[in-house]
Amino acid sequence: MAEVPYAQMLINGVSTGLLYVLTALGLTLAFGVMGIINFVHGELFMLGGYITFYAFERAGLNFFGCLALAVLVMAPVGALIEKVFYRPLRGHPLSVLVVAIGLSLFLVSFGYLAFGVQDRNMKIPFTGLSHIGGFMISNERLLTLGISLGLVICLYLFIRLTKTGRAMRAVAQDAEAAALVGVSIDRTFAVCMMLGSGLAAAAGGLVGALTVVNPSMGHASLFKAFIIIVLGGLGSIPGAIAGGLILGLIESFGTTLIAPEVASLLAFGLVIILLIVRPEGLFGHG
Amino acid sequence: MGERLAWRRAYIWAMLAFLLGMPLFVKSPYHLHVLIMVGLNTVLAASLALIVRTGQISFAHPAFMAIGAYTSTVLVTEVGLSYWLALVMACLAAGFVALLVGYPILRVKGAYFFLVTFAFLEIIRLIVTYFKHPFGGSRGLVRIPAPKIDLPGLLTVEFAVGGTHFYYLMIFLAVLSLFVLYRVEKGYYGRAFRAIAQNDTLAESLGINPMKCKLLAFVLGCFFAGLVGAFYAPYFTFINPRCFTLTTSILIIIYVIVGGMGRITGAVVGAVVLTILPEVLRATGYYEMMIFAVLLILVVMFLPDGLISLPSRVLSRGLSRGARIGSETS
Amino acid sequence: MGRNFGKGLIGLAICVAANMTVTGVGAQDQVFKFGINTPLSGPGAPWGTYHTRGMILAAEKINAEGGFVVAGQRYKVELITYDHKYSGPDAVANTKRLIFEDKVKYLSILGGGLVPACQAITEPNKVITFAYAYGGRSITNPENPFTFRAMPESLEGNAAAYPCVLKEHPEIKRVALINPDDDVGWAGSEDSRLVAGRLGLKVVANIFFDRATTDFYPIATKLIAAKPDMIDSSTSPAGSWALLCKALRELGYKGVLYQGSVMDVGVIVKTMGAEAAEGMYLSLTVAEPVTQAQKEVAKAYIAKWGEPFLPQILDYYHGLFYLTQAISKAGTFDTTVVSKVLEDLEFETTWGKSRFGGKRIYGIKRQVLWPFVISKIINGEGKVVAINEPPDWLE
Repeated sequence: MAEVPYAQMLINGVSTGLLYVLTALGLTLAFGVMGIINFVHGELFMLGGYITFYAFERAGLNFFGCLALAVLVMAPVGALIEKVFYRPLRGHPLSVLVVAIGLSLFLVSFGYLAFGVQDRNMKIPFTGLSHIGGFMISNERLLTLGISLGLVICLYLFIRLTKTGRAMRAVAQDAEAAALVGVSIDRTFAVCMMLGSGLAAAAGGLVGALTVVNPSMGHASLFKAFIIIVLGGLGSIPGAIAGGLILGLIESFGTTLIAPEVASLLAFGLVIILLIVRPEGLFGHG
Repeated sequence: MGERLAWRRAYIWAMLAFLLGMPLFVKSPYHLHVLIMVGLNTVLAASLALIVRTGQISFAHPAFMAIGAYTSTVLVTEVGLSYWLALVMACLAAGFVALLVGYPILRVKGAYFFLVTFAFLEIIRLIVTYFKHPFGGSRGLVRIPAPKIDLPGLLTVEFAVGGTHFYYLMIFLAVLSLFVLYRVEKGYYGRAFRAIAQNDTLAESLGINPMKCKLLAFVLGCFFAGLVGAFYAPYFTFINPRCFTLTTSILIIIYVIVGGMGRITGAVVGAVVLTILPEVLRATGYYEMMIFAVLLILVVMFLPDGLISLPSRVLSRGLSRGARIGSETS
Repeated sequence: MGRNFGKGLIGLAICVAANMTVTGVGAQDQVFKFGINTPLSGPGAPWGTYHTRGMILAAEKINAEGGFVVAGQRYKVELITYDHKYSGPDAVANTKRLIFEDKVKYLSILGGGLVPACQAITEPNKVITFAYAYGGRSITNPENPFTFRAMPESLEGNAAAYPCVLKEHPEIKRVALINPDDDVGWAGSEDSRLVAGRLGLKVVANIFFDRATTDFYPIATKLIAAKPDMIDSSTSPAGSWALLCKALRELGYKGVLYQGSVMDVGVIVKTMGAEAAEGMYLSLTVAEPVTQAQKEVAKAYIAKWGEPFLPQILDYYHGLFYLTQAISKAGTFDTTVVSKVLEDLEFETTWGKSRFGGKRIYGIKRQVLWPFVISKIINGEGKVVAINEPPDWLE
């Protein structure tokens, strides 16, 4: 290799990383606020992707409208799942994990049967390339980057500034104490799930637009989300952001400089080291 | 009480005789294959049940299967050991690795434990995928030779692909494994495990060392997972990373939970029913998965003690919200 | 969406409720049972559909003409199909079921990596296996004389296609290879290296990627940095290849793109855009039926399953014809005799004159050879560039 394309590797890593962040945020929220591993998160992502696809391809709506639709549909679905499946098992996170696994299995099989095995594509109307200071990025990617960034910032502001956001932080710190001062746990959990599902759905739609939509896309994204929340710390939003970017950069540099297999090894190696040395992650609180 | 024990003993001997005599009636290698799979899955489920009994669900079981499988294969094909020696060493390897990683892994609980065991599973998979020599990488190891018994003058058996020899070996290994696991469960440690699952600190105050117990359960459970892996390799004649995935671990967990959590008998029931069910249905994979998923959800939500609690539930006519994972009352 | 549920139910019906007997088999007919061990769910599921549909059409055609004759007795073809979900243990279980329960002596299996495990059972039991799988010499070798590879692998495709591409692009000197990181991908990479070596091309990169990858920017960056004139992927699935090429074009790659296995042209054009896909070479792939025989097959397909016709089923369509021809000629179902007959048989497929070859490469004549097509994407459509006879060194 003549000149090493560092700038390109950097932008590759950051653009992928931000998409990862969007996917991981809902998962880390669920853990931080509700104390559970929302294993079905991947399938919420997948269903969001399919809703976006069908709305875009079949109904011909504007792409942003399709994304919004996906979010609006999947958010209440998330709350519903919490109410029907998780609430009866509240206080028993392992049981919730197992039920979530069951839901995930069910939805993936359902996805294959309902949507078919073929990959689906969306041709979103943002073609062309942009040259930014030495590297190239497609306008498609730039758009999804922008949307991801926007959503992440919105979430952050919501958690920081609104009353519900504060309630979520309170519950994350100490659920019992929060309940004592009058915070409604049911409502907080419902909002938490809605936010998480909504973000997952948006991520699904965006990733689907950039690549493909298929029933097993949730599995792969869940994998990455797990790595990210371990890296960043379960329950920490800044952690998820850092974790996502770190993973994106490891993958980009690892793949381009060495080889694709090595990138995965590096990522998981880092995960194992962190789990042993600092299981609460880079930003988490044990 | 003595009478019940006598009945139970008689029942077990009858089962054994029945199983040993099976190949006389069941000639088809396909049916033998199903029985062998049942046997393997019962050992997998029972060994995981022991770990679950301490209140932790390990997703790393297939990783230890892999350790057993790859170790025994490499020892036979590269180092030239006899299969039987390799088998023992493979189990020991699995147990040893469990001991090594058990200490840091078992310190964490609940969700973190899931993540850690999941990460460990992935690392093992990545290692065998990355190192093409001696693990064969993605292709894995193929044409693994069959075991041989070579006692000149006494007995010379070459294991046929047909399966009868493998069947008897499986019976032997399964009975041995289940016996050991059952004794542990019914003994002091079995009760200690349950105590830890309910309440660590309370157990400690009773003189139980939680870490030591968790480690014992983990090492023992993974030892038998390695045993299954070491059997798996020459029976299927090939192993590759795709055999040891998260889906595999979820399947074993389903056997344990649907059958009856944290109890060997429950795990055995779960494994038997859920291994035979897909063979009977022979549906495409998606429907099969949906049925398993529905079963899992129903059991966790409404029948937490699993299928084996069904008879007693029906008799007592209650559908009480029994125990939950990590804290049982049965 | 309802249509897809229907498709799912069809998949189920193909497999479970009745081991689907093909139309045309009556109660009095003597039956020839042929096994199909294929992925109908999980990874590789689309291939299972091509496999089963190709064979169903073939079996129906044979039965419609009254079946085939062996030693004076007429036989109709019955297909027995099982889903192996691309899982090794399931593939082995299905093989055992087919051989010992259903008592078949002839079967087909789809899925590289799974074949050696099944061979451990089929070979000692002298069951003739049609392998629809990549895997090179690990599958096709003299130790497994009952295994016939019933479709071309990327070696055969590339051997016929590379000279054609080089004629149109004589500037190509440097080739970069990219394949999925598993046994299928490794076989494809070996094939490409062999062909490139014979033609004096330099392999400047040999990359393997995880099948689950969807973000190809890092890999594309790496490929471009190696400065290849042509990028060859012999075994990537259509979706991954399309995403990779999209990234390559977006990052400024201007060289030749080449794919070495059968794929769906529509997916590529849709994912990449027609402009970016312009000029891409697709070996062994066609977008529409080419020969007259293929147009007939397309008609039969559409009558049964509706539009669109999937040319990918063609590879699987041929097998039953030449198998039944060989059995008829042998006059017996004895697999040792039939395999000798098959080895030397000259037969017709929808591509033209065909036979088994590969002695020089595999040590035994078990690789099916017929004229190999190469297509090119022009104006968003796949157009046939040439149909080449396989070169001598493949015989």
